[in-house]
Amino acid sequence: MTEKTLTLKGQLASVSFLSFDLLHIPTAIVLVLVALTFALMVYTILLRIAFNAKQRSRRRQFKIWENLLLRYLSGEVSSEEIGQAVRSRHFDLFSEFMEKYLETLRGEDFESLTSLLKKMGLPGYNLRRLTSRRKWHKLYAAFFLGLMRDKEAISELQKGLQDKDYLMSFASATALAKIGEKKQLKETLSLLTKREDLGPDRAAEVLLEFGRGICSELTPLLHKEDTSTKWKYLIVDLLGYWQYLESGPTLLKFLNASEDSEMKVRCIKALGEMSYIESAPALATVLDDENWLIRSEAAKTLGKIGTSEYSDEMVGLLGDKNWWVRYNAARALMSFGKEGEALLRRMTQQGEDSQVRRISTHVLSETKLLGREAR
Amino acid sequence: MTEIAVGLIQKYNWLVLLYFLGINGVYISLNLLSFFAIKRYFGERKTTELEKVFQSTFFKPISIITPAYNEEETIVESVKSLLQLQYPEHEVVVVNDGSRDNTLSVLVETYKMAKAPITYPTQIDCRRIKQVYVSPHYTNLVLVDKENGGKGDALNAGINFARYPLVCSIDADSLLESKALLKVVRPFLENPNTVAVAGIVRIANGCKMRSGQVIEVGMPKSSLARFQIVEYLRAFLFGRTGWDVLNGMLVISGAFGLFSKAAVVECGGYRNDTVGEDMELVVRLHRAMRKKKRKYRITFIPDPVCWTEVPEGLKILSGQRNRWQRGLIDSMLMNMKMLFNPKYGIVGLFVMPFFFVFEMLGPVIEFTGYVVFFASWYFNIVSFTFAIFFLAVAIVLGIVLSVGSLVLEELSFRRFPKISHLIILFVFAVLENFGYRQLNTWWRFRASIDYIRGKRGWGKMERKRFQEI
Repeated sequence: MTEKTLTLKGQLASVSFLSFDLLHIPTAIVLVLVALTFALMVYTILLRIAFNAKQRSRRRQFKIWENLLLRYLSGEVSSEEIGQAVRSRHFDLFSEFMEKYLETLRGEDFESLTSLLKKMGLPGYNLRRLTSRRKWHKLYAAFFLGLMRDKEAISELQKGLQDKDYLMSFASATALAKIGEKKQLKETLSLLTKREDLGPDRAAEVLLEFGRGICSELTPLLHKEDTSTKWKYLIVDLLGYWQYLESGPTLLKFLNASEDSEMKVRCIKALGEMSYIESAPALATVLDDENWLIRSEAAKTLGKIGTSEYSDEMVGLLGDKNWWVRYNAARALMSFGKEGEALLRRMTQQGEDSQVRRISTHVLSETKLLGREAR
Repeated sequence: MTEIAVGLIQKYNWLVLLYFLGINGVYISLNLLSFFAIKRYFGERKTTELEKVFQSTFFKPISIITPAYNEEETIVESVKSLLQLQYPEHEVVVVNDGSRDNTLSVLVETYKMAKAPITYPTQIDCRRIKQVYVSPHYTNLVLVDKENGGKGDALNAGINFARYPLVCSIDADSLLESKALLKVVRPFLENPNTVAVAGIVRIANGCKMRSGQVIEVGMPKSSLARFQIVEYLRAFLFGRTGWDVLNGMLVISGAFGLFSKAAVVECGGYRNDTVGEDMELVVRLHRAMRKKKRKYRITFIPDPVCWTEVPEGLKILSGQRNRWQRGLIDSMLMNMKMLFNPKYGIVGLFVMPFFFVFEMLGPVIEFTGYVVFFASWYFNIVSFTFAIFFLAVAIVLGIVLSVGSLVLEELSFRRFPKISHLIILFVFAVLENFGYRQLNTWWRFRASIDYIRGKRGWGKMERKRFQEI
């Protein structure tokens, strides 16, 4: 039996298709892969050791700089002394260190900081980096110059705005917005709206950086035909966010004339945000809109800006087919004060149908429970 | 006769060798793509301050949907952590899918929830809703109690109740990092064509938790959990990141994914006749978008973390893998029209065929490949040279890939704080190729047989409480 098996093995071996003399190739492959694996492991561990050491030194360095900076801000240390303590090879790390101070400090302290950075040559360093070939260096330079609100960087940042890479274009736009150059708004907007790879949601960041001062320039864009619907949505949201009361009539006009439900909802929200009392009658007219979102939002906003003169409308909505409309109408009644609450209480007994009674009871018990908790 | 058989065996060995070359070759390419993608992600993150925008009213509100079936052990904790997430406007919709335990009562009691007469527009069909509860203390919490209909059905019910344009599906036994929503929503702001985003799922075993948050990443004691850490890193960090570069992400884990509600509703929601409802939905989203020739993006973000406890017992783990494999087969077979169909672009021509051959048929090829190879080796049908070559391609390349994913982790997120963690993971990255991977292949092979035999259910699942300190 054993002999037979051996013979078979011998026969089978003779038809093996890879001959032994080629053995060195796969063996070499295995050895190379094993060596590669081992090298990767060692590299990773060394990388971690280096990283830990770097973190330790960074923490140490930051502590020293923090101490120096605080003393500089209180006038104990001169900018020259700090300049001597921070070598140019440490500029990257120092920029990183400065980020949180540039983001949070304002007024005199901010001015002192930027003057210090200028004396140290950081703006020049970052301006040079803005023209670097390395993408991430360019991006960070734009970001940092924006943080510094360095007006001398405007012309370079304008070039960055035209960059093919949307990240660079976006970083430049944000920096320009931070610098607060309203002159750049038109160009920035026209560029941002043209870019397909940059949606309005993302652009909100840039516009927020410009601040409330741009509202007067944003409002006319709502009337322009070439402003896309998505951009118009964003503008309406921004006007509401900044509570720009001057845009109230425009938003009301849009609410009345627009056939776009989304636009109507946004207008109602914005009017609510800015507590535009004059919009109450217009809001009352959309309470019977076929879109429940519009009815619900209008009820909510009327609860915020309206008075008990809209109680009847709210009671009418307590029987709405949509739960959220009923809920917001009941909450609006509660916000109308004692009169509204009494009405809601009456509805728990005298409501036309069970839905009215249930939502009234629900909102009353919710408020009662919350009130008890608050006590 | 013998020679014909030997010839066939040799050809099969070559086929298996080519299979391993193919799968590992693609994975190495994905690894390289991931490296650049993660580098870009970090660079971009460094120079943007999106959180500023999120802190204002400029965000897209999110409805988190968490289906719960017999989750009394973990549900309170999960909901607590979801309510605490840092996000300006989000609601949590818990769908109790006819649990047989006290899931419903513990939620009602803990959050003092009251019955609410909420009605909803039925956008996607689902089983009958028994009752809806809201909490006066947490106005952004809704509990939907419905008849049992499976996970997909529960998610569909949650979508019907969702008020916001983005819906986030989260498993009831998973925990999100506090800033996870802020990060995962980014692609929706950056690219208006985004329809779905996946976040990374990491393993919570061995980590220290407090108030539903991981406060210190640790190393589990269980070997099985350690193998799974390496496996998850490989699957998420370079697998998903790499596919994402090609816009070919086919899987968004049910544990954590963010979707455009409109897109999901348009697609008809989750299917209820599969255990792989998460993957099937993503494949169907690709199919629908490409069919309508719409610009779209289904993407992956390697940073927002969802923590999950993985099984530490062989039985539960094998059941989980069995379910995953059957879900994958379902997703493939339900969307076979996409296979090699140029109408579906890279997804139809490359990603789907890859998943079909290497993921769906893979276990069958691998399992039979191992059996035939060892038999050939025993009977001396293959030469020593071939055996070495086979070893290099099947095992050593696998080790390189696993180690590669750990290198990627080290170059990017460095979640494991100690060097000893790294060393342990390297050891397990090597060891997993000698037994664990083959065991996985066996489980998936059996799943394929179960599928052919008509097994479709979820099987028994175990719920484990997160270990708090």
